[in-house]
Amino acid sequence: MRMVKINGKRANLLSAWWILVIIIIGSGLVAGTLLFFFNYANVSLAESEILANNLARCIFEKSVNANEVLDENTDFLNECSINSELFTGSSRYFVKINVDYSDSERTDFVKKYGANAYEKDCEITHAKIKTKYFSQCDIKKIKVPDEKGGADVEITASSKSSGRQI
Amino acid sequence: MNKKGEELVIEQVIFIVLNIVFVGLLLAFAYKTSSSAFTFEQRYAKEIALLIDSTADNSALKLDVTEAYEIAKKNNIPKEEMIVISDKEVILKLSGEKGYAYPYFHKVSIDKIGGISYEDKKEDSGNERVFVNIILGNAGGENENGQD
Repeated sequence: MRMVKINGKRANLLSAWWILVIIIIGSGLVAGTLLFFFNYANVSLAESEILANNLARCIFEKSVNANEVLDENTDFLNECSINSELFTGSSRYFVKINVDYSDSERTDFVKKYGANAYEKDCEITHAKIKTKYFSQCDIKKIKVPDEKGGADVEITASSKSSGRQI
Repeated sequence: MNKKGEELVIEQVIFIVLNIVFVGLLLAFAYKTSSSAFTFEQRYAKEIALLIDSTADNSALKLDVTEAYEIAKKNNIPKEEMIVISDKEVILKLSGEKGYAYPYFHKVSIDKIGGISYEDKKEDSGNERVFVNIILGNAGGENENGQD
């Protein structure tokens, strides 16, 4: 192949250097494409929102029906049709329910389920720091009425759920 | 044009053609990956799992799965084996290779028989659309979720 002048030096257009550049660019783009599609569409945030919404709606409805805010002995997951198996062992979900009663007769309580380590992630992501390696969190605050004055209930739900090839 | 000039032009043309071929191959690869069975398996598994999580007990879901069905048909996967819903995972299998499973947290029961059914619909344009119907029962939680 004929030589052309580049920066005053003679060089081939179709040289080994050009092939090397093509290989480097090609492999970079192939790797990038595969990495992007390997974890296509992260839905953790949507999952956290659904989990928090489900719990908020369930706690509100059941408390209103019973005319008393659900107490500390309640198994919130089972009560709200959430599969508790996913919250045991090396769970990829986390739920925190914080009940703050309006009256002083009843004792406020906090109940946690699942991966407690995600609680810190929630604090960080709630401070508007975005990172896809942290679990995605959603916080719902509701006011639940009852005959003793009701309670403020805060639900934190978090998910770092991922699929798997089988 | 003299001989020297002709050779220079040919070299430039080959160089440009090879670059175009290279870019074309990369685009074809990106397109093939984006429309691969694995990508669609992920998309539908996640979509169905989110739908199950956000839907109340004792209700039915209807989802257009035409694209997934086209890929499964191409790979000789029967419609009935395309979507499997276990106690806690949605499993999509659109190719002869591996499938993809995504978990859902809503405690529901889906009948092995009749829980998932398919429906073919022909559009006015002549295109056939395939829908999956998923019936969500109550898994025996203390009572219903009460969602809409």
